[in-house]
Amino acid sequence: MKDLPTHLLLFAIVGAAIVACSLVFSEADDRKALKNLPKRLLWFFVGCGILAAILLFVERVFARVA
Amino acid sequence: MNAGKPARPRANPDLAAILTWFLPGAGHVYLGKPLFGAIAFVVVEGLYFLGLRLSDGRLFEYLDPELQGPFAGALAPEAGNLGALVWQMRSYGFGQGLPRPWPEHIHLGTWLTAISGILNACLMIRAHADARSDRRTASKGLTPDVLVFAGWLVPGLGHILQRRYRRGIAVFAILVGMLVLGTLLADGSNLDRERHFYYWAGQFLVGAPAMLLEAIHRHAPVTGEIPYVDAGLVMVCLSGLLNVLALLDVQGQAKAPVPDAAGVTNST
Repeated sequence: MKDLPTHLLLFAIVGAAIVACSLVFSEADDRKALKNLPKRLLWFFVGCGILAAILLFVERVFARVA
Repeated sequence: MNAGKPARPRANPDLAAILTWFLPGAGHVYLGKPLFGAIAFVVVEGLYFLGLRLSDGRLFEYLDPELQGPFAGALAPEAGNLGALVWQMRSYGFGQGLPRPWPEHIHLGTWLTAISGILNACLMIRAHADARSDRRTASKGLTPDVLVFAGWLVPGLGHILQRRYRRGIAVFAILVGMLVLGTLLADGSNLDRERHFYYWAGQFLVGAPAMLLEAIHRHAPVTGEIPYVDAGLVMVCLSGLLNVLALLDVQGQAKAPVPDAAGVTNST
């Protein structure tokens, strides 16, 4: 896959921004928001990793083109 | 001792907002504030019609033929001023289909119509808030519409005006950082409404920083392949959409207090 590390880096930047802004919206208290940020980031990226693994598995098993 | 005094009938906040959406100031006329309504009408519609004049009403000629449909304007910032948008669509539509040069100040003109849409959306917030409160219960300080407009103009400014400094700085750093990074990735080609009509609409939600970058870049032509143009476009559009979340947070915090049945003021 072309430029995979660059794409992963860009995805990480955008993902971190989305998670941070969702905290701004969902958590009224700044301290709580800051405290929850690492946990939310972890959940987001672990969730994305699981989703990517499922998609790759499905693609390999049911929709392989090569 | 106001037991004998008839209570002012409560206005419907949703109706006030919807009236404003169709005709700037109409919501305030409905709320019994005709002077405010008239001033709002002149300012919002004045901006729109100045923009129309500068752009010759040719905004929607930017769209490719396959995108020209009855709902083409729904995702444009002008949709905030629905009456004017409908009027423009009926009067100018998608042009005559003949190639001709763009008016000299079309970019400035389309900025003004877009700003008019944003301004009217803020006016809707004001009409809704005014319908929910009266002088007795109105909150002190800046009104929600002013805070939301400030937050649109400079991401994070709404939070800072609410004295939520850390939050405001974080919002500014994240959103403007994404805007700048995305613009670098797209080599500035994202800053052009003609080239990317709908992505531009998302990017416009970042406010003044996006307009400033566009003014600096001056719609330079693309002369070669830009490897990460798609990533850059998505990033700047996303930064604008995330600013909507930040603006909702500002608006939620700024909502005017509402008296309950016993007349006790509750913050919602």
